[in-house]
Amino acid sequence: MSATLAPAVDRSPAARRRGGARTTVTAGTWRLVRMALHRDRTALPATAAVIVAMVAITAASITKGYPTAASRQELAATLGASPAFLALLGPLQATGVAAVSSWRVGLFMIAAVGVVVAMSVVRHTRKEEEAGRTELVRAGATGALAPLLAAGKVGVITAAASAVPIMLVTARLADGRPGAWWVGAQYFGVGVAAAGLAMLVAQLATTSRTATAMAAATVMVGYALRGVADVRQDLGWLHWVSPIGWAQKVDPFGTPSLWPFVLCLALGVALAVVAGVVALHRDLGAGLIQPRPGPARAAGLRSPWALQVRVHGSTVPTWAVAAGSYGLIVGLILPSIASLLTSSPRLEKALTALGGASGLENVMTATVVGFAGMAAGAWAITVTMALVHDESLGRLGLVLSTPVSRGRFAGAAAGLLVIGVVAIPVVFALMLAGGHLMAGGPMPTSLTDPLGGALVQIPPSLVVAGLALALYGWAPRAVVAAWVLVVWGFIMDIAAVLLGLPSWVAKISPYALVPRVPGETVSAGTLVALVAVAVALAVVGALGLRRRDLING
Amino acid sequence: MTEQPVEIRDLRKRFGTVRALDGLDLVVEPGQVAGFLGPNGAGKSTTIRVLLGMLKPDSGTVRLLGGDPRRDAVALHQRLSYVPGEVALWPQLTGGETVDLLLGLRGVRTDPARRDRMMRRFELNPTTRVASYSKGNRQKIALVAALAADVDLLVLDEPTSGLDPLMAAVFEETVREHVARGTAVLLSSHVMAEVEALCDTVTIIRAGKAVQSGSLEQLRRLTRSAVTVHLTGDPAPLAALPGVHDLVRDGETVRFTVDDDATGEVTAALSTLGPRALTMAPPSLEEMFLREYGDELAALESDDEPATRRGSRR
Ligand SMILES: Nc1ncnc2c1ncn2[C@@H]1O[C@H](COP(=O)(O)OP(=O)(O)O)[C@@H](O)[C@H]1O
Ligand SMILES: [Mg+2]
Repeated sequence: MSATLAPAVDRSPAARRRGGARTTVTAGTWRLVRMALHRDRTALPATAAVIVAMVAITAASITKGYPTAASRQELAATLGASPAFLALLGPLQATGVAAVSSWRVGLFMIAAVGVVVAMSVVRHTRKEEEAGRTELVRAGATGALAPLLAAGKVGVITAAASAVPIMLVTARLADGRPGAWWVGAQYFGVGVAAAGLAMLVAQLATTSRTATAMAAATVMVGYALRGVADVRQDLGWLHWVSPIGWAQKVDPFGTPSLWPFVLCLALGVALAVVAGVVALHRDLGAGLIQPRPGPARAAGLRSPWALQVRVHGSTVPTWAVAAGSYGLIVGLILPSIASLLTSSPRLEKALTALGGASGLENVMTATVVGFAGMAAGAWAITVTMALVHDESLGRLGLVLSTPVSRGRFAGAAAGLLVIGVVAIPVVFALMLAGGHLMAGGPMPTSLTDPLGGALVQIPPSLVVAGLALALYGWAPRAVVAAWVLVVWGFIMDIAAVLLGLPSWVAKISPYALVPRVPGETVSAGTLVALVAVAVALAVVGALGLRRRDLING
Repeated sequence: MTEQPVEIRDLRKRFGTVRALDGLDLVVEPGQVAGFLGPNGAGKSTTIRVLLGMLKPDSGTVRLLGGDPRRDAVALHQRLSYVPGEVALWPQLTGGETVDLLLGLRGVRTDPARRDRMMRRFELNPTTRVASYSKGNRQKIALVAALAADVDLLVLDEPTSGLDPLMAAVFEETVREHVARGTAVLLSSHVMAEVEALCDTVTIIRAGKAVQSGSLEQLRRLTRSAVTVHLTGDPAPLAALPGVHDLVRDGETVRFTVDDDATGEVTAALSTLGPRALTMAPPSLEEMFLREYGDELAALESDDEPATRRGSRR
């Protein structure tokens, strides 16, 4: 049979080195980069497209909603100067269309790009290692640092894939140049810093889930802290504790400054170097944060429901506390809003028409509680996608090979989704209330206002969870499409404030259907209808699961 | 190729409190197929990962193809191929893409004709996506990538654990072709028949330590052969011989075991007793293996408590 094989190898040393291939710890990096980009060939452009679309839509809505310089100056003097928007978006530095749009999408989107980049880096480092694929890669002629370095480069490319189009979109606006370059620098700088952060976190955590959660939470805490710095003059130094704050100091439309951008890049490189040192000194598969040994016996772990809670339930407190930390910070600065108001007579006048200081507090509370609702929807989608992942590894088949019916399994999944969708906004509201009370907020409204807002967010989040389940039941690989409801809600949250789009466009997202609470009146009919839709979608999903093939039985 | 493919001396590695390797010695000579035997958790995969530079040894010396497994990892990995025990692949890629990728990662320029022949031999379709592959098919992909190019050393960690007997036979045949061209092989396994069929030397590992090693011949010599014979005469003189053990008589049938170095004396004594239907079986690898683990087996049988595999031997 040796005829089927090629003739014997040339074993000369020259042949072994195969044309002088590099043999350093970074050998093979570019091959891994190409491979990662190949695998991300749809996800990366799609993410960048969504981010860029948000910027473009916002710019269009500003152009249409505030066509004159006078109208934009009015916006700057009222909303732009309001502490609520200061905390969420930072100060508005100029009144051109580009300046206003950049401010409106602004820092929150920059933080979002940071999270996206961090998630990408973790996916290409710890997730690969966890899955056992890094073992195969490292067994090739691949340097010990190549997987890490390749992931870092993919992270930088992901950052650039968002930053460059955003820069180009901004540059096309009337007053876009030269601020556009600086806007691009903000996104890119935070992206590079986030890539470095994720590289390091991926060395410390032994599971990709933990690594992603740690990196995302760090970025969001940075975003929140700079919000505190914007509202509380005495805490201005908080601008300097995170790259999001540095990005703000780049100040594209005020007095642009290069060196906060350089600081972002330097931090990213420094974190990457530390990550590399850790990587060189640790074993494959190891990290600093080791999973603790668990119980030897399955006490109470006897049903699909208990299994769901045990396997995916821990994500609920993680997400709730991560979102809630943001709520806590917002709660702490809420009282400053009233005191800042008196310093701007013109703003005070504009807002008295809206209902005064409490009106502004309400806007702020309703807006951030709305974020918590979207976080609940996002959580529901990620858990459902994890169910699909379980299934593709044959785990669902194992469960269904026991006398557990598919209907019962779907019920267990739905139960878990309901718990998370309720818990995340409620914990958020409680932590916001806790912060507000600590800062001297009044009882009982400090508690009831955010709690009411959180409860209103539950029905639309249930609809998102229901859609995820329906897709899971019929076309499990399409669960990712449920993101549309959340992302659309986010876009509309931006666009609807500023611009009267045809109402049906906004109403595609369930989040746009509920009133902003506190502030607006609640119609029970809408909420009940949303819950009914969610239940119907979940039932459709269960029916689909009962009749479809498993991905991997 | 004069350097030793694998040389491991007194290797120790612990994970927290678990002593995975506890003074292991393992050698693979040029051109030889070395079997690496041990039950689950004995430390086979850990040894291989140390050898590939993915784990840092706590102490001991490890040489791979004359180089240092960590410092020279990249250069060394160009000269070997590895099939892990658990093959995880990228679900988005096709089988053909995966093989090309794995070859590419080793710095090998793929010979497409040879790759395709190898895929056909292992009955793989290069255009199928890996997501739909079974464990056996994923393992076959890793095997094709490992065997579709010539290397100095094959490192195979339980490579046939997911294969059906037909594919296992194709695997053995392909490995033999590589060996014929001078490739050395380190084959970890717990399939005795496979090791017996392929390997020149065997190392049996227990609790992170080699408890037996040598050529199959040498190991056989350490173990007794089983003799079955029909005797018309009285077997008592046989039982008195020093090399004979465990003699039982069942009518005319006599069974006993005999030390390797006593074979001559015993056959001489037998010939005087009117033997018929004599069979003398050399020990199988399985018997040798069970001898090393006999105490553990006994513990399992005599006791419902789980046996402690990490307990000291004898
Ligand atoms: N990364 C690790 N962390 C902790 N313990 C490990 C790790 N890898 C292996 N072990 C332990 O080391 C021992 C040897 O494992 P392994 O080398 O996989 O055995 P084998 O391949 O012979 O089945 C086992 O007790 C196993 O649990
Ligand atoms: Mg193993």
